Amino acid sequence: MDLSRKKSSETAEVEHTSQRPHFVPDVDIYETNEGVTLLADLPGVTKENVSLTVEEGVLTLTGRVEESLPEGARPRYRESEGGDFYRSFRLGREVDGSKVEATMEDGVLRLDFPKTDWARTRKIEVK
Amino acid sequence: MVWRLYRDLDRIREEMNHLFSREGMFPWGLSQDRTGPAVNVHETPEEYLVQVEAPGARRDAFDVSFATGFLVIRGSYAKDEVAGTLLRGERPRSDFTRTVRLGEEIDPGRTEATYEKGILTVRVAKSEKARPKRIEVKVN
Repeated sequence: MDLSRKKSSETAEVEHTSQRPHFVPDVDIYETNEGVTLLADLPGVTKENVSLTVEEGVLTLTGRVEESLPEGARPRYRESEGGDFYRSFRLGREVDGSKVEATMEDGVLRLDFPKTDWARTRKIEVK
Repeated sequence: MVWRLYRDLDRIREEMNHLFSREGMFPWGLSQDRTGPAVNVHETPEEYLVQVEAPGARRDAFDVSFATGFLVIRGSYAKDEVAGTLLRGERPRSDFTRTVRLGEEIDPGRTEATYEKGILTVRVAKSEKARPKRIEVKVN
C-alpha cells in the first residue's frame, strides 16, 4: 500500500479556507557545498501554479492542480484523490530563504537555498 | 513521538476505507504491485484514460504495452542531479510496473501516451462495438 499521500491537515499549522483536500508532497532534502537543495514531487502542477513564501524563517509551499481530463470523463478507479499540495518547513539559520532559486520540471519542484553568511566558513588572515 | 503514531494509524484506516470503497474495487485493475506510483482510470464513451503519477520519471524510459488484456506500464526515475548528502529522502526512486485490466472492448492499435507535468496519461480507444450507439426508434 502506498502510504505516502498524507493529508496535510495533520502537519499544517494553519487552517485552509478552501474545500479541496490538501496533500503533503514527498520531498528529498540534500545538503550541498553551496547550501541546501529541496526537491518536491508535485504531479499535475505547473510552475505557474506553485506559490512559495518565506516568512519569519518558515518556507511555505503550495501547488495547485488543474485536472486535465476531457469533459464527461467518469472516474472508474482512483488511487489518488484530486487536490492541491501544501507543506511548510522551518528553515535553519544556515540557510538563506530570501535567495532561493526555484525551477520546475515534470512535476518536480527544485529549490536551491544558498548558505547564509553566518554559515560560511571564512578564512581570517592573521597580519 | 506518540502523536505521529496515531496519525499513521488514522492514515492506514483511511487507506483501507478507500481500498474497499466502490471506486477501489475490482475489476478495474487492482494489481498486485500496489507499491508504486498512483494510478487513476477514467472512462469516456470513446476511450479509457489511464493516468500514472510519476513526477521526475525518465521520459525516454517509459514502456507501455499490452499483454493478454492487461495494459502494462513500466518506468524508472531520473537521477537527481544534486551533489550533496541526502538528509531526508521521501520521494520514490525505484523502477516501477503497474498493470491495469481494462476489459475486452478496447482497440490497442489506437493507444496514445503522453507525459506532462509528471503524469503519464495513456489513452486507450474503445473498439467500435463497445462504443454506445444510438438506436432510432420509429414511432408509428
